[in-house]
Amino acid sequence: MATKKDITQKILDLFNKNAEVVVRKFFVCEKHINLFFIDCLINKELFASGIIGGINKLEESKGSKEKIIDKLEKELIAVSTIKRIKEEKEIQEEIFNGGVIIQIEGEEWLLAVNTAGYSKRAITEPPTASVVRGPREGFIEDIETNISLIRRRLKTPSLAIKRLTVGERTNTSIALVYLDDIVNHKVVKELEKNIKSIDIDGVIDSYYLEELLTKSSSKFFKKLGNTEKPDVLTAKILEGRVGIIVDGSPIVLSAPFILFEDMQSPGDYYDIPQRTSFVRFVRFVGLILAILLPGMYVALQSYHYRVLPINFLISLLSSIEGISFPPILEILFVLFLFEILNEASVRMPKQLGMALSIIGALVLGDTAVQAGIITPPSIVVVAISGITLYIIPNESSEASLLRTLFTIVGGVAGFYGIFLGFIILATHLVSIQSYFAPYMAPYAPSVDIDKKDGFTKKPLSYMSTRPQSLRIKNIIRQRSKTKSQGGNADGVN
Amino acid sequence: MELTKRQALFLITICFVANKVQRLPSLVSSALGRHGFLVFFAMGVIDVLFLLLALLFNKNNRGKTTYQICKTAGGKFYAKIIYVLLGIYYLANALLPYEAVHDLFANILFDFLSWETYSLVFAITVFFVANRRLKNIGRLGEIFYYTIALSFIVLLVLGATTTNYQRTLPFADLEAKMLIDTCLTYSLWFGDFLIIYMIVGKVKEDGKKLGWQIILMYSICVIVISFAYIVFYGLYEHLSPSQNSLISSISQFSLLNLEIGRIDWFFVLFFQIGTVVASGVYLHLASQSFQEVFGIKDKKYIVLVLVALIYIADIFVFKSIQEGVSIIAFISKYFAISMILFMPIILLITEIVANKKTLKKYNFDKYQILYQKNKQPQKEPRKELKEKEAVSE
Repeated sequence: MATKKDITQKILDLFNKNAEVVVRKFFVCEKHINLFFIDCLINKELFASGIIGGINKLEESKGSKEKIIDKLEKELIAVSTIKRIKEEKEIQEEIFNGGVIIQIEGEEWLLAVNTAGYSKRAITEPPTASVVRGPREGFIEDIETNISLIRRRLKTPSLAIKRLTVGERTNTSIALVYLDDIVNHKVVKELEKNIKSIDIDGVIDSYYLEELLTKSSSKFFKKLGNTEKPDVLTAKILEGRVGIIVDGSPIVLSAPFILFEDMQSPGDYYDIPQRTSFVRFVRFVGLILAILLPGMYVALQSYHYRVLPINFLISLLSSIEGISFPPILEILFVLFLFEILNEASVRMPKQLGMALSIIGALVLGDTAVQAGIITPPSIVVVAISGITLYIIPNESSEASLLRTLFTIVGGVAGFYGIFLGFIILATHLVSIQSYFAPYMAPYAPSVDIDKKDGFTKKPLSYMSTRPQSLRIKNIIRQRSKTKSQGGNADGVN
Repeated sequence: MELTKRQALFLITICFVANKVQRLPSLVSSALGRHGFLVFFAMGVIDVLFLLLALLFNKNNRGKTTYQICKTAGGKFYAKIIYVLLGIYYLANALLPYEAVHDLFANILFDFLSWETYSLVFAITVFFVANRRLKNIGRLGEIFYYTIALSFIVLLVLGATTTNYQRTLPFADLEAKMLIDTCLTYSLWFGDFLIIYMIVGKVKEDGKKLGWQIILMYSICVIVISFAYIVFYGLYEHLSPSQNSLISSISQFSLLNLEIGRIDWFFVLFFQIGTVVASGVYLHLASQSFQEVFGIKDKKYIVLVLVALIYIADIFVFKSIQEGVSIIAFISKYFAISMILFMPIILLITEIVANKKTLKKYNFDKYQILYQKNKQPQKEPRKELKEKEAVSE
C-alpha cells in the first residue's frame, strides 16, 4: 500500500467496484483521511457524531507530535470497538459487518470501527412456542441480539461463546454457546470440527446447519434440537448442551438432542408437575395416534374387522356401505386432501383463511361423503390424526411421513405390517446417537436419574442432577434438596 | 461394555417367556394333558439350577469372554467347537419365535396370508434387529419390556378369570417316565440361561455381578408360565392340543371381549414384539458365535446367511407345523438337552482350568521378571568413589 491513490483503489477493488461501498474523503492535519463503509449497514447517528466528530476533533490537537492514527484511535475508543487491520479479508469482513474503515495517508494500518446499525426485527413472542405463563421473549434474526438474550440470563464467567464462520459467500457468523465447566468437551470439539468441515456457498438459515451437521446415514430423524425461546436454550445450556446460534435465523439449534426433548414444552416448567405429567402422557398418546391411527383403521377394515365390538362393527359397516374404493385408497385420498388443505392454509393470505376452511371442511368434505367417495369414519380418523400431529410441532414433518408409510403398510399387510414396521422403527431409533448421547434416553438406555423429567415430571426440588445421558462434566445441579415445609420460620406449623 | 445389567436381565426374561407361551403348551398338552404344567415346572427348575452354574461362570470370568476362556483352557480348536455348539443351539432357538409369529399371523389373525411372501418381510425385520449391536438390542428390550410384561399379565388375568381350574385336577397321577420323555422332547424350548455364555464379559456390572435378580426373575417366570398352562388347559381341556398358541387363545372367552371387541388381540400383538426381540437376540448370538468360529469381521454377512437359513427352514423344511415340531423334537431329544445339562458343567470346568493356567502364567511371568532383575550385573562404583578410596588408601 504505497500511495494514497493506490490504497483507495485497492480497497475499492476488494469490493469489485460495488456501488454500495461509500468513500468519504477528509483533509485533516494536512493528511488525507478516507472512510469506507456501506451506507445501509451502519448506524448513521454513531457515524456522524462519533466518527466524523472524532475526525473533526483532530484539528484541535494540531500541534501535537503524536501520530494521527494514535490520536484518532484514542478519540474513537469511546465511540465503539476499534481495531487495527491490514489484511484484505479483514477489510471485507469489517465492511460487510457494518464497520467503517478509516484509512490515513502514510499509515500502513487501517482502523476498523464497529458501527453496525442495520435494521432488525423487535423481540417478540415466537408464534410456534407461545406459553400461558413464562417468558415471552423470542430469538430474532440478529446473532448479537440472540447472544445478548442468553448472556442476560447466564451471568457467569463460565459461559463460553465460540465464534465460527460458514459459507464461502454468505460468511454467516455462527456462535457455539455453552457452559465451559459443565459441557462435554467432546461435543464442542465434534461440533467445531463438523462446522469447519462444511464447504458450502451459503448458509441462509439454521436448518442448513441442522442438515449439514447430521450424518447422511440417518437423516430422517433430526439430531439437533431447536428452539425460538431464549429461556428454553438457557435451560438446555444449563443441562450441559451446546447452543448453536446462526446469524440470520431466529431458530437456535442445540446439541446433543434426544427424542424425548420434543415431548417437553416450555410451558411444562411453569406449571404444576402433576398437570405437566398428564399433558406429557397426552402428547405421547397423541404422537402414537398421529402416526398409527390411519394405518390401524385401514388394517382393521381390510383384514381384522373381528377385533371390533359387534355394535360398532354394524354401525361402521352401515356407514361405509356403497363406497367403491378399498379402505387404503380412501384413507390415502383423505390424507392427501388434508395435506393439500394444510399447504394451502400455510401459504394463503390470512383474509382467505375462513373461506378455505369453509370450502375444505364443509363443501369438499361433505360433498365427498355424499358423493360416496369417502366415508365419515375415514374423515374422523384423518382429522384425529391430523390434529394430534401438531401436538408435537417439532416432530410433525417426520410423523406426517411415517403416518403415510404406516397407512400403506397397514393396507398391504394389516396388523402384521404395522407390527413389523413399528419394531423396525423402534430398532432404528434405539440405534441412533446424537453427539454421544443415546437418542432414546432416558428410556433406552434406561437412566433412572433422568426420568425425573421424563414422561412424568417431578417437582423442581427433586431434580438435583443434570441429565446423565448427555455425559457431561458436572452432574450436580442442586446441592441441597430443599422441600417446602409449609410451616413458619421456626419450623412450627 | 455392551450391556447394562438391567438390559441383560430384560433380554433373558423376554427370551424365556416369549418362546414358552406360544405353540409349546398345546404340544405339551397333547402329550401330558392336565399334567403338562409339570413339564414347565420341572424344566424351569432344571433351568434355574443350571442358571446357577452359568452365573458362577460369569462371576469368575475375570473380564474375559467365553471364547477367551475356552481358548486359554483348551486352545483355539476347543474354543471353536464350543462356539459351534452354542451357535447351533442359538440358531435352533431363533427358529422357535419365527415359527410362533408364522403361526399367529398366517393361521390366526388373517383369513388368508401368503406366508411365503410375508415371511420374507419378517425375515428382513429379524435381520434388521439381529444385525444391530448387542447394546442396541438391549435397549430395544428395555423399551418393550414393560409393554410385553403388561400385555402378558393382562392376557393371563383375562384367561384366569374365566378358566375352569377343576379341569386340571387331580394333580399328580402321572408316570415319571412320561414326564421325563416329554421334558426331553421339548427341551429346545428351555435352556435360555445359555444366553449368559455369550454376554459374559460384555455386561457393565459396576462391581456387582449378575446374580439374585436374575434368579428371582427366572423363578417368577417359571411359576407364572406353569400357571399360564393351568389356565390354558382349564379353558380348553381336551381341545388344548388343537389350539395354535396359548397367548392368542387364553383370553378368548373373556366376557370383557363381548363389550369392547377382541381388544385382547392388541395385547397379543404387543406381546409378540417380545417374540421378534427373542428371535433377534438368538440370531445375534448365533452370528457372534459363528463370527468367532470363522473369523469373519463383518457380522452382517453371517446374520444374512443365518436369516436365509431360517427362512428356508420355515418355508421349505417345516411345511406344516406338525412337520416342524417333529423335527424340532428330534433336535431337542439329543442336542438341546445335552446343551442344557452338560454345557454349563463343561464350561465351568473349562473356566477353572483357564483360571489356573492364567495364574500359572502370571506366576511364571512374575518369576521371569524377578529373575531378569536379579540377573542384571551390579553397577560398578563411580569413578570418583574409586579415586577417593584410592586416595584414602
